[in-house]
Amino acid sequence: MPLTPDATLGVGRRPLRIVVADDAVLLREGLVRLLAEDGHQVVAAVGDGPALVEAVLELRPDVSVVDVRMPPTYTDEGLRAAIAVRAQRPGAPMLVLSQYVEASYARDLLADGSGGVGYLLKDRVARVAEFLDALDRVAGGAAVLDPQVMAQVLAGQRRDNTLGALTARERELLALMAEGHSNTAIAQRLVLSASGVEKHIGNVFAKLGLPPDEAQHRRVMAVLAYLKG
Amino acid sequence: MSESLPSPARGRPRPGARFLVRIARRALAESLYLLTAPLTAAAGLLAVIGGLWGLVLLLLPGGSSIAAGALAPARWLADLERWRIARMGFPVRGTAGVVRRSRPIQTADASDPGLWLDVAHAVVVLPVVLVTSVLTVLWWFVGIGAATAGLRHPFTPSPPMVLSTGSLHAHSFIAVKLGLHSPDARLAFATAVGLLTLFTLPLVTRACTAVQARLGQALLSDESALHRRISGLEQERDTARAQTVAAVTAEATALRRLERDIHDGPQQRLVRLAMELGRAEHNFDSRPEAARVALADALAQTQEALEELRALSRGIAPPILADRGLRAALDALAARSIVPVELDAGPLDRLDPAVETAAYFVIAEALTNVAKHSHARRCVVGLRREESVLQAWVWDDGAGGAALAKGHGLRGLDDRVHAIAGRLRVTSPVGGPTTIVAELPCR
Repeated sequence: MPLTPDATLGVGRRPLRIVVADDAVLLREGLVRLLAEDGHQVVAAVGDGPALVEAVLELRPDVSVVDVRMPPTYTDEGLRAAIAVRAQRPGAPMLVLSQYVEASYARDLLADGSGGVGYLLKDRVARVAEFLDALDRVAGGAAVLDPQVMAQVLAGQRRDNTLGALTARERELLALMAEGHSNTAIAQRLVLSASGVEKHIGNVFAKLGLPPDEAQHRRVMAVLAYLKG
Repeated sequence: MSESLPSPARGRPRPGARFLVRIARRALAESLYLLTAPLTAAAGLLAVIGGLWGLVLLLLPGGSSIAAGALAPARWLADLERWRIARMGFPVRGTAGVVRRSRPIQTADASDPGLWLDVAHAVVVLPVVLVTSVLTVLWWFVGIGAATAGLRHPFTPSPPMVLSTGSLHAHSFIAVKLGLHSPDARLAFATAVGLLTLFTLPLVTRACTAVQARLGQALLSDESALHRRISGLEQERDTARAQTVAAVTAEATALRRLERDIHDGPQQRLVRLAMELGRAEHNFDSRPEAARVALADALAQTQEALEELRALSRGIAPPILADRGLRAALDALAARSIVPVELDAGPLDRLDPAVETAAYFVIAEALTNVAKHSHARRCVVGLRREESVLQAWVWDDGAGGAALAKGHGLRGLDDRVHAIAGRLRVTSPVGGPTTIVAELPCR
């Protein structure tokens, strides 16, 4: 399930100030080169969690690209650092990359409900255009989750409570929302009209009991509800 | 036919020289047992008294094992008594296989009731032994003395007053009563008494032995021996358990490391490779030059990934080790080492795969450490098989300072070696040289 590009590369996209955190020099260099080629500015490239927190608090980048696994524990350092950053600077956009995705990690990232979070498999970077697009959306405050996270949730448990109230179509739509797609992209994907998508999304929000609010925030909350099953 | 012989203790003599020889031999053996008993009993009591200060220590915290240690000589003497009793035909139940078996050192424990029974036996047995040994001496002395009176005084008219010690009056009374007034009659009487005494000697030794042995059986019996046997078995079980834990830990460590190695190695390479291919595709039309650079980089990453996979599979199960054995695998290992390695190993038969693998990985890991941390200029790898132990060692002239507790690598090796009941020793003073020795049991 590849990510679908919402926008054509470069059109209307602003250059971002980015912090990259990855302990593997190999990947850090690759990322920096990739981002620079696209016209972004990598303001810092660091190798561990504390350095990430420090860099983000000091440099206030538009978005950070963070590897989950970093020293000293080589477990979920990056994830915890990202959460720590957002505790001090709520909503600081974080795109977390990992060799494996775990739904519970995504839940932890989204838990503060403020959006501007991405959680993708590292491999997605190879789809350069999609990756850059996802980065842009995270910087803009959206929640972008890897399709595999959605697949895990779906394969896991079909809860009969909140999500049980959603139709198959609505669930499909919610999954696409979780991947961070805009209404336009979702309309293309599901072969619906823009108004049709909006109607469905309205239904989803209503069924999940999400109050009328700023649209972006409600989307994040909906995804969170989805993750919590 | 010998099985059907009645026991002399029941006093039913039967004609036959073999029978008499048996009786005599048994009486001799029992006499020996009874006459040496005061020695062992006295030694036992001395050992107990010697160990008494241990009882004082017992009152102190942690004194239990010290007390048990102090009383160890008393236990050895109790073991000796068990053996002696068994030789007399009174086997102590539950001790079979315990007395002879080399006992683990730490099984002595003050909480062991057997220890206190052994001590009690050492105290109680001495008075009993004094009585039985005096009786035995008396019987032998009177028997031989009286029976041989005629031989020793063939033509002496004076009467042999053997039985009249301090009781001349009674003797005269008996003598008078029996009408033994002539020296000949007295001699005949003495000889008769002597023969009677000698004849009853087997009964007396049997009875004395029985009393002493029953006491031993009561106090030295199965409970204590069983207790020790159980603690011996418990210790064996604990050792086995520790081995299992070490094996599981070693496996878990190896798996974690493998996961790390895959993650840090080929997986990173492949992600980077994908990244470069993505870049190439991305720039294909707009910036062909950048695409070409990305493709060249992708190719390099592919080659690196393959090399890393090869190294990894070698690290999991070196094919040469399985195919050609330890010696050949070490040759290959030495050839790949950055620090020059000298191999000190003769021809070697194929060993148990577990031993070969453990030895290989100890040496491989040690060589990795040498290359990474030691700054050594020279390194010697050795292998020697002595009887049932394979000794593998790695020596280097580097900086030293390696410790089992320090490096995860060494710790993992320790677990690996423990898992097959081996031992790992590290000698590495700061400033070097470092020697790592693994002793691996092999059959």
